[in-house]
Amino acid sequence: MSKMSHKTWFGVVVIVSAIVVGFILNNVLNEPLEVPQIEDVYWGEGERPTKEDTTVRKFVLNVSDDVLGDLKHRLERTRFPDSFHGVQWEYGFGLDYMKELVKYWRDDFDWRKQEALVNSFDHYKTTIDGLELHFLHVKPKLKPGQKAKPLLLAHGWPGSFFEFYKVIPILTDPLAHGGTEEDFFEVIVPSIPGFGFSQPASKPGLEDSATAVLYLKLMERLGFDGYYVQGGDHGSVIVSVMAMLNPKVVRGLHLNMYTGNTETSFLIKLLVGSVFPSLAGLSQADYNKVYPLWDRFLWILSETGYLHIQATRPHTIGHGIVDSPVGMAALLLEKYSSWTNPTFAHLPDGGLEKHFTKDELLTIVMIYWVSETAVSTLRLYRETISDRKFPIISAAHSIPIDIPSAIADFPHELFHTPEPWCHSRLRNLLQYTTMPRGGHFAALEVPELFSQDIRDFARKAEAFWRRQSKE
Amino acid sequence: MGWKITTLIVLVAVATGLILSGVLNTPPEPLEFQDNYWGRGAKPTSLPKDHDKIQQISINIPDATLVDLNDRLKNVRLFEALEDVEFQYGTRVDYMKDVITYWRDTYDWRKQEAYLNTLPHYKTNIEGIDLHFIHAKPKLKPGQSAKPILIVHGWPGSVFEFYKMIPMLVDPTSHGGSEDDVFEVIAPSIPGYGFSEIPHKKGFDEIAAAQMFHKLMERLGFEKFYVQGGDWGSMITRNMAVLKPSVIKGLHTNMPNVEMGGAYVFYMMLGSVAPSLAGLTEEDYKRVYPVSRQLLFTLQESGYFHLQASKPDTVGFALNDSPVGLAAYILEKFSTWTNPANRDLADGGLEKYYTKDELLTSVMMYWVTGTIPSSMRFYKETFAGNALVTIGHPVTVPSGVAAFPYELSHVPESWCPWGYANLVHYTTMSTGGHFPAFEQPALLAEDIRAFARKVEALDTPKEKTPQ
Repeated sequence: MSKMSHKTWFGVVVIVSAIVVGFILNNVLNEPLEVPQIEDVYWGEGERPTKEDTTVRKFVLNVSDDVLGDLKHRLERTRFPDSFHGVQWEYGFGLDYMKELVKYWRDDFDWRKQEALVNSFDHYKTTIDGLELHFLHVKPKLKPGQKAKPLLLAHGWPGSFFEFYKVIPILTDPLAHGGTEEDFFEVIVPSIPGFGFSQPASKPGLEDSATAVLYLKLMERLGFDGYYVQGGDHGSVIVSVMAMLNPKVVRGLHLNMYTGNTETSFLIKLLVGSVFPSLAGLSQADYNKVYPLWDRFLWILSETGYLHIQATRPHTIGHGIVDSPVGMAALLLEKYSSWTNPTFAHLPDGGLEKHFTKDELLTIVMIYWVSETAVSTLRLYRETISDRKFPIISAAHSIPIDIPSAIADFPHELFHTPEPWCHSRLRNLLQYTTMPRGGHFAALEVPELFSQDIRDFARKAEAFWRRQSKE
Repeated sequence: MGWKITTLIVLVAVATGLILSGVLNTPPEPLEFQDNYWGRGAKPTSLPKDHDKIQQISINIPDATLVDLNDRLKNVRLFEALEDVEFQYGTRVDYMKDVITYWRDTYDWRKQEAYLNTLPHYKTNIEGIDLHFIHAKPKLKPGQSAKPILIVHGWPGSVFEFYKMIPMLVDPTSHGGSEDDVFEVIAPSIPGYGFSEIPHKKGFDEIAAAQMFHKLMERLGFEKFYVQGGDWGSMITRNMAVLKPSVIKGLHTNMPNVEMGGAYVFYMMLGSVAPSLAGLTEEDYKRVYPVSRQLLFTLQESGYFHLQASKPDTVGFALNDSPVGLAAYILEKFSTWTNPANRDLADGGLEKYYTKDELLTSVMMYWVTGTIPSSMRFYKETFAGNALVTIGHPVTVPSGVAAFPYELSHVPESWCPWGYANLVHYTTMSTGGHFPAFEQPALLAEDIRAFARKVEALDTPKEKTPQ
């Protein structure tokens, strides 16, 4: 038999057995749709004190000269791997481009200028459940009569608050950026504990659902009782859990990465759709983005090595990442290539400079480097797969959400969930935008498209709430 | 963890297993020698007269390398430990602090280097790159002959892990063996590892290594020889037996590679309910089942494999630039693969089995040569070419297996013939893990001797069967 028919044979066997098994089990087991209980954990050292510090303090980033001097010394003595012919980025981060990047980083990159850019936004820290949570809080300048919608933007890995630096001005100053008075937002961008300048937990267990609890508490402390949430990557899980746990305060849920859900019916649709797309409600365009499953599976397999090691043995890889700046840059920035556009692997610079500048990329790395949080960010994956946490993440992927929601579907995002498959869980999906361009780091890559989609969604959501209050 | 997720993971694992075992590919084509050239640029049209010379070398790392290393060890950036966690998250940072202090203040590379030089080292240029190898010749009495044996290391191993075993093979009477048990040992560094040159072209995999080692043995004048290997060494030596069985006297492995196709699922299911019907001994059963334990272990421990088989160059930057990064990455394997229970120990159980000097020298083999990135590319090359498909070829030369209890996976004796059609020897060891030459050199050496004795006995005094 030819190679092709082996794959088809295998695919058919998988589909048939999955359908049969899924059908039987779906009828046998009732899927509980209860919002799971999330334990209230004190993440600081020791026991929760009787009186906790609830102050919100301004924070200004000011990296010491020592750290910068040490970094320069490390860059100067970088030991590069041997060169390898005929390969661009197919084996991972390209060597030639890394040499160019390191030279720039060592000789030309002006951290103090980037630090000033970072500080051009208002940063704060506040202690919640024993952890110092870092966040940006950017308030628009409002004239009398003008109102702003509060919006929380949730980043993921290897992201940071910095990836929103171009969308924040668009959202907080709409009149200067092609928007109207209706489009004012007050933006809050927290750093996941262990990322950016948020303190890492010293106990195991802090993952997306626990982060959601902390973000809910943050917004409460800042005095918001109704706000929008937006997320991609881990951020999309975090804000989905927020909406699941407290739909009363979340006015709208906007996602740029929707991984579908874990309902059996969804899985069945996925498999049936591979053979009978119209039965699963798929257009041709949708079909081309989801299938062939085999090729998707192989591509995901080739992109998830980092996920596998970070979800199992983060400390093994962690030692090298925090001790070698070029090592850290390679691990983080590789994704800015393949997740922006997989075909970029054939370009000498991994296509990085098509959409990003060296300054932007290095600022992202610097945030991980100077905050000394890189290993805690790797642990996020390990914490997610633990037995205790997975049921919560699973619930977040199956419990229906009735508040207004929206999906911005970027063509080079890692997962494409066709619109017809979103409605079973996002029961109030007001907007699904098929974007013309953009990948996983959409806020950084296509900030205008990203911001406009949030504006459009918020208007629809506000209209929904107005109708609700009339009824 | 939820039946759906479990089912999904099982399906993914099965699918991946099927891909790895090549069952979805057509039957393997016969292996043939290729016209390979791994040097820089185009293959030269003519070779200089002395292109095949064999040069004796000694290991002599420049002072500058050691000074640079010490500088890095003095300026290590670490991270905060997590409460109540030993090696379950990977190498434990507080243990690495001990290692760094020792490495920086006490470890004496020149002393280790002198130890390395107690065995003779050589280089020879094959297919455009310099291949490094150890060639240990025994002191023979008149009339005595030694059996030549090629031993091949794996990842993250090196020729260093054979140092305790080689003397046992070349000087058996001082190490519990008889005069007849004398071997002549050839131990190469796989190109891209240790002191062998790094291939400058894509495609250097286990088949390419097998071919190169054949050329080495031919150049050294051996017409027939034994091969022994574990980890990648097992794949490489099996390819050698498939490529040119006429020169392989016998193949010994401590990590057999067997391809059972669909029959695997059948035997696994049968074995779970009727072990003896599936050909399993009690010990086999204990090592193979429960499947969930094996599957969980594989999932937990194969992150490095997944990463190296897809994006080796990405992680290579950190490991070639940070000695503690390299050490943490490598030592985790020496811990977990020697005994999985080591994951719950504060020092990863490392010093129960190995000394700090041994462990650090193992790491230095990658550090002083800068070969960690190239060593990891080998994983990606394995999947890029036909290397895995070759598991579908049964090995026809006399074969022997030493089955250590903590090896990463266990192949019962009755299942070995699926990959080794001429199995003459199988030992179920009671102790030892993935690095037996390093951890249990006497056990492995004795098993190689016992295997060779059986193979020698196959040659009857009557005329030998023509090959």
